[in-house]
Amino acid sequence: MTLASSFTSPASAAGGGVGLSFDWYRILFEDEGFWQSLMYTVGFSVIVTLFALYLSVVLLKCILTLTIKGNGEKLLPWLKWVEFPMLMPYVASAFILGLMLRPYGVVSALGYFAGVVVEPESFPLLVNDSYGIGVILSYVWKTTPFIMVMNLPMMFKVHKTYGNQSRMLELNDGNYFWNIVLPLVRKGLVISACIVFAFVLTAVEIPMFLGVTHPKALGVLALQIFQNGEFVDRPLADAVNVIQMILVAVSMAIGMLLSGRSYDIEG
Amino acid sequence: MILKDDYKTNKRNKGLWKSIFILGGVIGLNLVVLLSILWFSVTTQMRWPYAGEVTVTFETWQRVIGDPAFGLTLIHSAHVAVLTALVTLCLGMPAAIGISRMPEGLGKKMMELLFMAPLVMPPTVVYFGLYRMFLRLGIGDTLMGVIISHAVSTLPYMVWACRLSYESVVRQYEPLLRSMALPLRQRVFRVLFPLMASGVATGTMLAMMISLCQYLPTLIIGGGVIRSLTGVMFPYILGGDIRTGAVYTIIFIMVSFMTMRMVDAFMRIVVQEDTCQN
Repeated sequence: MTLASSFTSPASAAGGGVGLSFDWYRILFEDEGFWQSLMYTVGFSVIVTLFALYLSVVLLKCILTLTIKGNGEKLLPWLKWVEFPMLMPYVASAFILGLMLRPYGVVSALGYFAGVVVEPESFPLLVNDSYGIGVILSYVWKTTPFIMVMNLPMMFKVHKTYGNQSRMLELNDGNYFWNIVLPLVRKGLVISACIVFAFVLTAVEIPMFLGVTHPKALGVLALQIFQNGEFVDRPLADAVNVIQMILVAVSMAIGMLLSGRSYDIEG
Repeated sequence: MILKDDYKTNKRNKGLWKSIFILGGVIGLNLVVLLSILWFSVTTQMRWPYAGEVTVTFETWQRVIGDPAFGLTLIHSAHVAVLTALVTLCLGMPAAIGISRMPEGLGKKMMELLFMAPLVMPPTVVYFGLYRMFLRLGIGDTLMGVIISHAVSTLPYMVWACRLSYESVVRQYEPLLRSMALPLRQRVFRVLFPLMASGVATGTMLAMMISLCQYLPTLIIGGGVIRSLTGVMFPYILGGDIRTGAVYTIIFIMVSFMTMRMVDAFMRIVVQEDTCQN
């Protein structure tokens, strides 16, 4: 439906006729604002995905080390606190990060007590900034536990199977994690990173709340054309949606290629 | 020899302390966030440097909880979340097993992509499309419509979590299971559920959580008839009413936390029963 609507021509949409054309795409591609939105959205999505992936791998390694060395089982209930950002919707996490990072917010106040920040005006602009720092931080905060939780069961299974063997071979923690556990959970990691990328690319709530009016994130752009524009302009929003879908499909394809084969773990 | 051993233990402990430090840092950060939200829900001062007196008031809490519509909203949200999780489980688990059993090839890849599709599609497209379809079927603006629309977005997570645990645990017992020729009910409740407990628990937890967090589908497909916690919360957050927004956020966190504990406890019972029978 979206595809069909995006390929109608402006004239036929106004006149109610049926026709196939790329006019909406031409209008879109000739608009410089659209290209800026595209670069901005893809930029922060890539940064969020890479950061979240890296941080979740670090957290997974820490959890594994704790399970091996310390009283892992005793500490596991505390891990629920790592999953804390998953307990709230994106809207709420945007709200919270807004409260934390704004010039009059919690971080700035803590900085004041630590003697780093002199007055609210001197605090760097982290929310509604043109680099999208607020958007990136809140998405990283929200998606890192997601990637971690999605891969924890698999990691424990791998550990259950190969933990004793690695101890027998006297592998140190680093070797064990990077050379044995990580390759075995790689598929899950890559796929969950792809999900995060797709989600961040098409999401609306956080960029709407913490982003800037120009450039807009693609999701926000589509929604605003849809809501504010004339009825005949709606195919333009659908064209933006189609471009989002293509981007996501390409990223999923790359993810599938990178993820490699899945391994059978006997556990 | 002793020196070497000592050196090893030290190094080992260093890794341990590093892990504790990193995890502790993350947990500490989240605690700071929680405490600030608690503070914002009761304070009268919203910005530092504090001019004048800082007072603590529970007026907003009383107003929100005293509202008779609040309980109804809470029950509605929980109701939708539980039913969504059930629907997702009933559809997602067989789908996951089915996909895992498919021979490697294009067909399997296509099925995987098809089940991932709702994650990939822009949310506005999915829900406007669903709404048009539901209106035709006569289930727009109903509880069933909302649950189905939630299940659409939770299904990929369930399929994925179940597949991971099926492929890593159950698949190797497949020939054994087939030779035992158990009736379906026993195969599902005595074998599949206990063995796939971790995947099922993860999937169910995610499904409930995502269903609770949904804003757009409840708004579009529920058409204002079905109330949801996010729907009530949204205007306060966008409108800049920090205190009410903070109160709703805390309620949200508590509800989600309890949901998570319940699923955890339930799954522990299932696993325990399994070990007892063994």
